[in-house]
Amino acid sequence: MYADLIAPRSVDDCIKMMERAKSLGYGILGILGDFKVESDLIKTFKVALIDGDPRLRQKLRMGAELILAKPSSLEDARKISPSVDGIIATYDSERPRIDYVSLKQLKRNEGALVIPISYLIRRMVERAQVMRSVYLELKMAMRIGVYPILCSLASEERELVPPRLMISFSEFFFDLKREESKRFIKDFPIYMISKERKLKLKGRS
Amino acid sequence: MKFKVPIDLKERRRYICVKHPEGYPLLDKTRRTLMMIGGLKCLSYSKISIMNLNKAISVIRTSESSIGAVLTALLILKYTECSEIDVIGLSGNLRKMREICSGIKDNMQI
Repeated sequence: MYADLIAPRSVDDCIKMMERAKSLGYGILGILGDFKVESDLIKTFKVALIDGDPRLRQKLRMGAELILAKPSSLEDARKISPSVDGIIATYDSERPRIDYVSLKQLKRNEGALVIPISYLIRRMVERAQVMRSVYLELKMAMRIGVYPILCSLASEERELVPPRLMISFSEFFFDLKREESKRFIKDFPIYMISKERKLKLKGRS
Repeated sequence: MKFKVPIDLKERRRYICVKHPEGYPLLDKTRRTLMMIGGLKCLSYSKISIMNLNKAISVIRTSESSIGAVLTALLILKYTECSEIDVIGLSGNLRKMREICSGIKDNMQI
């Protein structure tokens, strides 16, 4: 079962995207934003993005199953990483904003490195060097054991792409085997919302 | 006398069925994007050809080693130039690909 994260702008968009995702072969969809949509078509879970204040996490934890952060600097990443479930990869800069220390902290949280493909590709066409920072972060994450997740983070229905295109993208650009890149959109996102992970984290803040 | 088979013919062929807006210059755009990503990877991916089944559906023929590059190029085109592009199917058999495309064509006419 394939999984994807989306960031719809409205409830209508969200419903259309859920239908489209189902037809493309996705089984689970993470929805970023405060949308209350229920559907029998596809399993969904809530995703939240925090700005920078780690104290917000406790509030968001009640509603969202996955809390992501987008650090603005290396220092920021070190502050945020112990308290979130995932960090968005540096798709908009030539220098990585996530280092070994913050990824180690993220691993203690069984966290994930989220690579938003739609944003990355748009930036990559303007400045090819951004691929380098994502590549470095991905290699560090894989070495440490942080789970890389590949998602479209699409905000419109037509931005959703079939899983096979995402797999071939990561396989091609990040020099991975097909099975490895498949896990980025299959096993890892499912693990992030699984009972196993919750059990592993039991007792931790 | 030995007869040498060109490398292209030894490789397996792959066919990608693509839906796009009518009159979209898919070959030119795909070639240009392949050049761009070829530059990033320091490799060359130029061996593609396109068969237009109708104005809105085309089949891209490529080799097995370039399939990842071509699919990536189509993904880049989708996100940067033409969001209507859709990859419908992928096969190593042209007859199968034609069957898939004719099914899509029938659906479009209905």
